[in-house]
Amino acid sequence: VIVASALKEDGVWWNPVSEARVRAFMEVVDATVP
Amino acid sequence: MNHVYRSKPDALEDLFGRGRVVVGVVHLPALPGSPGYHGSAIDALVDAALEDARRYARGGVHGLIVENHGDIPFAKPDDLGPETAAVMAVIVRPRPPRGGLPLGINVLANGARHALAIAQAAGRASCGSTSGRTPTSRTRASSRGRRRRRPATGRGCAPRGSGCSPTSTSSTAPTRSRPTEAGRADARPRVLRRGRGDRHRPADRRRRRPRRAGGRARGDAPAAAGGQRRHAGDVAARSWGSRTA
Repeated sequence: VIVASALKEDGVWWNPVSEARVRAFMEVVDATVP
Repeated sequence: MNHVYRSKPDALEDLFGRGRVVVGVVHLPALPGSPGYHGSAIDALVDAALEDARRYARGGVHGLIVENHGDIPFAKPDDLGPETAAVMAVIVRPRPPRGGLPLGINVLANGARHALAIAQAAGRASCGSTSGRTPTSRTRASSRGRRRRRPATGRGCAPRGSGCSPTSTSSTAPTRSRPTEAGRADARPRVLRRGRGDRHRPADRRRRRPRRAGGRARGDAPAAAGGQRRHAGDVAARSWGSRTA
């Protein structure tokens, strides 16, 4: 999976990456994908 | 059951050591040569990209891909300028001390050969590598699912037989042509091309290279530039995708 804008601050591609969004996303990934 | 094809190695397993991965995209802002570029310092572009990479890495993604998304509307492959490749090579050059993430390079739009050139120049061209954490040059895989013509890697930067045969992104974003000189609006844009020398140009359009007095001979090292050396050192001290950076 290639992810981009959804992990930026406010979901806007030109904003910096939101580490909190990345962590939240990866927690779901790690809990779902073996 | 008889198989028609031999089984292929799993590229994701080779690169990441796992079959399912999350790749974070580092969007670069407008780069030199694009309509949206307004003179941002290259160092600032590098710093912003590295900060995004660190945040992705600390968040736990498995890999990174950097792309010139700010260059929208994207140039077609033949219209991509050398400045795009040059700046992107500088941006992806910093190497992680250890624990770095695999890094892909995507030049929009469909600039597979530029991506290979960037990877080569930045020391990240390890196409076909099978070690888990080795940075790689790879453009995003085609989403169309049909076979495409292989890029001419033999004429580009990747050595023949390197096993590197990336496919390009199929972009639906608007594209642009590079501006042409006044009065030559109907002419082909002037871009650098490999393998097309003056012998293909009309005599009145051949490039003439002035002789430089005291110029260095071919093969000599270029004159040292203090500013450039300092800049290179600064960039090398920073790193991509290291969770510890």
